[in-house]
This record gives sequence, C-alpha cells and structure tokens, in this order.
Amino acid sequence: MSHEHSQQAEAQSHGGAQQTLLAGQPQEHPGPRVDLSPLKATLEKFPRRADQLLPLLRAVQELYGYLPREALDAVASHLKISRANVLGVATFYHHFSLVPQGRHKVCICRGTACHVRGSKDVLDSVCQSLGIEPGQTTPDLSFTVEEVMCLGACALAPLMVVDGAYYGKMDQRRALEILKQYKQEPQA
Amino acid sequence: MKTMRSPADLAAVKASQATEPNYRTIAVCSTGCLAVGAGTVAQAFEDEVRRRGIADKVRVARTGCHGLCEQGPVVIVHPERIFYPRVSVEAVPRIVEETGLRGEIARDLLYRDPATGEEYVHDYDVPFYSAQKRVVLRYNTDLEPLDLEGYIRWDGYAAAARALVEMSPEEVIEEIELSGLRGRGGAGFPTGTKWQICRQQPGDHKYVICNADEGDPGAFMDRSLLEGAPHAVIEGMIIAGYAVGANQGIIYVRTEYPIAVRHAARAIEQAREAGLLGQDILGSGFHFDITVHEGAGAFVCGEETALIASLEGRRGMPRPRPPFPAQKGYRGKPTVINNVETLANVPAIILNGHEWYAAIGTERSKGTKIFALAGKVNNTGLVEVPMGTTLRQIVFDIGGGVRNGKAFKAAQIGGPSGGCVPAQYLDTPIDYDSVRAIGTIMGSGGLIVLDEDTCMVDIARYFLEFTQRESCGKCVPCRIGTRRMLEILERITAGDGTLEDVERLERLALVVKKTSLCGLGQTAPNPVLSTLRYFRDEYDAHVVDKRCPAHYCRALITYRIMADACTGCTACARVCPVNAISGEPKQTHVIDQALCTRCGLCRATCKFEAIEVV
Ligand SMILES: Cc1cc2nc3c(=O)[nH]c(=O)nc-3n(C[C@H](O)[C@H](O)[C@H](O)COP(=O)(O)O)c2cc1C
Ligand code: SF4
Repeated sequence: MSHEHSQQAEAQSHGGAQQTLLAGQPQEHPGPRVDLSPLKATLEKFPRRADQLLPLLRAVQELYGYLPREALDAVASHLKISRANVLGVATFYHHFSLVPQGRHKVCICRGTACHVRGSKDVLDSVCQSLGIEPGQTTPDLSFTVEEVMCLGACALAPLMVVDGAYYGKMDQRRALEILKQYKQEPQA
Repeated sequence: MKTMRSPADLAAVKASQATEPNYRTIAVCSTGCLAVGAGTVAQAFEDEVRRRGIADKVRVARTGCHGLCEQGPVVIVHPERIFYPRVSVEAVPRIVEETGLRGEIARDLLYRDPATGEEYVHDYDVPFYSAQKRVVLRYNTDLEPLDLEGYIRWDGYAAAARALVEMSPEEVIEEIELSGLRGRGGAGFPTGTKWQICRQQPGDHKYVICNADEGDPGAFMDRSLLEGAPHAVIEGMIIAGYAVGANQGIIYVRTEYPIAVRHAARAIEQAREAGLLGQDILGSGFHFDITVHEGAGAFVCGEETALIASLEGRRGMPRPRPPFPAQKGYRGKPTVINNVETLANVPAIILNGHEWYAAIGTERSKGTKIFALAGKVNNTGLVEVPMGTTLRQIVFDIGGGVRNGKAFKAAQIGGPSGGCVPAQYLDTPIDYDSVRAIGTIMGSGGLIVLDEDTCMVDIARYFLEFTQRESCGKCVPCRIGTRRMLEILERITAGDGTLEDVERLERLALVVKKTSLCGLGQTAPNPVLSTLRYFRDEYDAHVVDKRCPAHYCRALITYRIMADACTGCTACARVCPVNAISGEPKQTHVIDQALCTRCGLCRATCKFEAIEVV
C-alpha cells in the first residue's frame, strides 16, 4: 500500500483507460462501455481509508450491478491502496461479481435442507434449460443463475428465488414452468 | 419517546404503559413468513382494521419469527394467544371480527395436528411450542422488533440499567461466569472467561463484536433473533461493553439477511435517540455506541480472526491464535467477539440472576439452545429448548417426526463442521459434551433431519463441496486436503470409487483435521468421519456393489417406467430434455437408458407415479 502504488493507480485510471486490472484475462462477456461519471459521487461518500474497501465495493456494485474493471481502478486510487489489493478483495467475496449480471437473477438455495429435498435436481434442470453453468449468465444477458448457501427459509425447501420473488417447494417441472414465465416477459 | 437519563426515567417509561391493554393485538409473523406471503396478510389485517375504524380495539403487530415456519403465515391473537396457522387473506376479515373484536375462536381456522387430527386453540398448547422453553426467543411471538416501548414494558434495558448503575464490571463478569453461559457460536467457550481475559488487557480502546455472520447452510437462528429482537442483542452488547471496558460495538451481519441488517440499524438509532446508546448511558457515566457492518458472502468470515480481517477491509483470512482477539483483535485492540444468541442471553441472566439461569440445562451446558430444525421433518422451524433435551424430543415431539412417514436415518448437527447422529443415539441429551462424544459438535444450532432417501455418502460430499469452496486457501492441509477429499467423494458417488479410496479418504480426513490452521479446516472432515463411523456400509455399497442404497446418486440409479401404472399420456416423453423416452399415445412408454441423464424431470412430471427409481 505504498504511496507509489496509489500514484500509479491514479495515473492509470485517469490516463490510460485500457490498462485496467483484468486486461488480458478472458471474460465471459465483453463488458459494456462503462460510464464512470456517476462513480465520483459514490466515491466521495467514503473516507480515503483502506478499511472502507468493502462498503465501497458494495456501493459500486449497487451502482453498476457488478464491479466494472475501470471502477475498480478508481476505487484503488480513491482509497490509496494497490489495485492488486482491490482485486484480491473483490475476488475473495462471493457477493461481488466482476462480470455483468443478467436481467433476471435466478437463485437456487443450496442450503442443507434444500439439498436433502432435491435442490440439486432443480438447479441442474434450470441450468440445462438455459444452457449455462451455475454462477454464469446467459450470453444475451437475460438470466444469471446463482447457487446461494441457505436463505434461511427452510420450510420452503427446495427454494428458488427469481428477482426477489420466492418460489417454494420446487421440483424440476415447476421450476422450468416458472422460468418460462420470465422468458416470455416482454423485454424492457 | 424522550431521551432517558437515569434508571428512574426507564422505569417511568415502563410504568406509563398499561400492563393489561384494553385492546387485542393480532401478531403476524413478518420476518420468516414473508417468504410465504405474510406481508400481504399483515397488510390485509391493517387495511381491515383501518377500514372498520377499530384501531382503538384491535391492533396489528408485525412481529419476528414465531418459529413454526412450516405453518406460515402464522398469526397469534393476544392476550388470549389464539393461534391461527396458514392464514390467508380471505380469513383476515373473520379473524378481525370474531377474534380481534369479540374474542371468539374461529374453530375452522385453528391448528390441527396433522398426525392426530387434534385441534389446538392456543399457541402454548400446540405440541411444537409446548415442549419448548423460550428464554431468548420470548419476544418473537409478541413484540414488534422495533417496538422499543414494548421491549421496555417487558423489562427491556432493565438489565443494562442494573449492570451499568448498580454493578461493577467485575460483578457483571462474575454473574455471567457463575451462570455457566457458554458461547453459542459453535465452540462453547465460557463467555465470562472470555470477558475476563479482555477486561484484564491494558488500554482504553476495546471493542465488542456481535458475530451475526451465520454462514452455516441450513441455520437461521441468529437471523431470527436479530430480525425479531434486535434490542435484546443490543442490550447484551451494552452489558458486554461495560464488563470489558469497551466503548465501541460492531454488529457483523451476513449480507444475505437484509431484514436483519435493517432492523439492527434502526434499533440502534432508536436506542441512541432514547439515550440507551451514546454518551453517559442512563446517567451511569458509561459511553457505548454500535455500528452495523455487512459481510460479503464468505463463510470463513464467521471465524473470528477472519471476521476482523474483513472488518479491516482485507480478504477474510484467519490468522493463528494466540494472540486471541480478546487480547489483540480489531485494529490490534482487545476485542470480545460473541455470537448473537450468546449476547441475547446476557440480559436475562443479569435480570434473573445466575442461579435461575444455571438451573436450566445440564451439568456443564447451561441455559437453552435455539435450533433451526429443517430437512425431512414435518415441522420445519425455530426451536428453543433447555440444554440436555434429547434428539428424539426435538425431532419427534416438537418436530412432529419425519415427513411422509419415512424412516428416520440420522440428524445432521453442526452443519459443515458437524456430523451425522444415527438413530441409535436419538436419546442422547443434546449438550456441548454429549454431542462431542458421539462425533459431532453443537455448532451454531443447525439441525437437519435425514431420512431413508438421503444418501450419507452424498451428504459428506455435499459438505465437502461447501468447505472446499469456502476454504480461504491460506494453509495447505485445508486448501489441498479438502480438494483431494472432495475428489475422492465425487469418485465414490460417481460409482468409480474403490475400497482403497475409502481408506485414503479416512486417512486424509484425520490429517486435515489435525493440521489445518483454523476451525474451518479442522472441522471440515467431521461430516466425512462421522458418516464413515456410522454408515460405512453405504460407502461399501457404493464402491463394492456399485449401488446407492438411498437411490440418490445419479450414476448408480436407473429411472424405469412401470407398465402397470403408465397410461401412455406422453407427458414424460414431451418433457424429457434429451428425448430419451419413447412410446405411442395410450401405450406404455420406455426410457432409453443409454440416453437418460437421470435428471428426474419425467418423474416430477408424471401424474400417475408411474416412474420409479431403482
Ligand atoms: C469457519 C468458521 C465459521 C464460523 N462461523 C461463525 C458464525 O457464523 N457465527 C458465530 O457466531 N460464530 C462462528 N464461528 C465461531 C467464531 O469464530 C467465534 O468462536 C464465535 O463467534 C465466538 O462467539 P461465542 O463465544 O459467543 O460463541 C465460526 C468459526 C469458524 C472456524
Ligand atoms: S484451515 Fe482453511 S479456511 Fe482456515 S486458514 Fe487454513 S485454508 Fe484458510
């Protein structure tokens, strides 16, 4: 967390926008061009201290729906910590995503109660029907499927949550029917 | 409420509230039951009361989790405590009119025991509740979580007042020590001792952290407490702060619990406005304040040193102890970290005295414990029982036994750090030491019932998949050991395992347990070791006979259409994603085993239960 680092980060985030954290890394989806102008107001809400990193990343993810590479650079320079440090933290916690998320978020609870009542079969069917693996987003950015470790609504096991709406006591067939409703929705 | 500046002010607030109200309260579970539509039901009650202009006679309270999640949305009408399960919006006008206004019982809406058909009027008579002893959860069925005045009416903050004004910090610690309270976060460390260690450290800057990370899949005790009774947790933290000499508290809460985050934050504001947090609390000269910090979805952050790293903005990786956080914790300062439930026990102990508390429970495990009962059990829900209650009482008397009349196979206690308790130990009293003796740990209180259809090898694989993914990667035994163990378990459940694999798995488990740095790695092998201990025959069946006795592991099962039950409706053939099913309409269908991926969609679709798994 040297001074040198922070200056470097500063230079890169303002100067060469291409030279970003994940440059060269394969990406599932080419990130859309990110408008960094609303980020400034978010950054300014946080004191320039290393211990603000997690709350700040949370705020950035709320703003963009994920953590765009360019935004991570700006976070590093704002907090005066290294970009490696920021990326290290952003990749450590499951809550953060470095790639854009789908318009619909399908969460399948994989807590123990859901598991013993068959949530793996539900997860597999949903993933197969969308042609993606758990944690991935469909190429058209319409769906992201996520495994979550227990939502604490075990009476509803197996539980599926789509965009915050709870669907309890799922089986493969019902899960696919519900998914269909979201697929048919006219796109906003 | 005006700011309170002394215990007398607090007593005045309590006295100003009628103990026998001249209205009825309809208490709707509005945290856990939200997932089953309790929000709409509560709204309907509020609308109905407003529409009829009877707000002086009937009040609606959106309370914390009542516990019987299985029967949600759950409603209790006070003061009679008339209990209505599975309340629908249609039933709302009747409950308001018949019970809310007239105090009568709407018989047809009452709870009927699914097993015996017996009808119950009051919540305290329902077998699920009658066998419980609710000390920590006592507010959840009666009070709105953010009803600070109600909490004070129930002697809330009286314990803090007594501790801060009448007792010395040493006396508080002694009281907790004598009560025998042990940490509810898993390890069962004596709380008084922990506080004492922290108190003895030099320095003015100390911290109290409430651990509400609750990452154990299948556990929701801490969530329900923080959502349902945030003031009890805050009061516990104030007392802890006073005892150890800390002026700053932090609640570290799982981000997946938005209601808990909201209630905790709002309750802190309320307490501040009322003079229960901040400078010179109740004229005692003691300062204390609390902030809320959200986790970011990493199980290992429940471990205390990882939690501190996370609070400091770093990757949540544990460090070796000693020094313990009580010596050197957050920002390098002495820090007491306690679990939500531990802290929620504290006010009751100060208020009622250590003798009262120590009379509950067993020789070495005092008080009550909350369990999140779930899985293949009839009554999924939140259960608080005295330590020493047997597993049989919890699963059968309270839980109503195993679903669908299946046979009980085991109870998984303690989540990824715990183990499986087989049927022969159903009469074991559940306390810290007894469960350890049978190869599991109390853990935080997740209790998952497994039945004859649960594959025990798969359960071990399931937990290893979890711990492997959650391993922070800092130390080799855990990072690589859990991966190798998972690979072996995957081989076995895929039907490719050998007897040597099982032996290797056992050896590896013991090494990982002995050599890992933190509790995650040290306990990750427990699900494997306990299933090997009690269900080795299932491992053998997988590797020797290539058979999954529970008919669960995909590689070892076959889906078959039973000719006598199949009507040839074609539903299964249409739904199969790999077109493995063929047959003419009205003719028996057949599954092509070479194509079948055993996804089970046909079986979930068949209306005639004509598809079996063998
Ligand atoms: C991997 C791991 C996860 C843990 N998760 C939690 C948790 O979610 N909640 C908790 O209170 N304690 C958890 N603990 C235990 C804490 O490290 C700590 O012992 C506890 O919070 C102390 O509080 P207590 O003395 O009141 O039990 C965890 C420990 C480990 C090793
Ligand atoms: S035991 Fe596992 S979780 Fe704990 S420090 Fe080692 S690698 Fe990290």
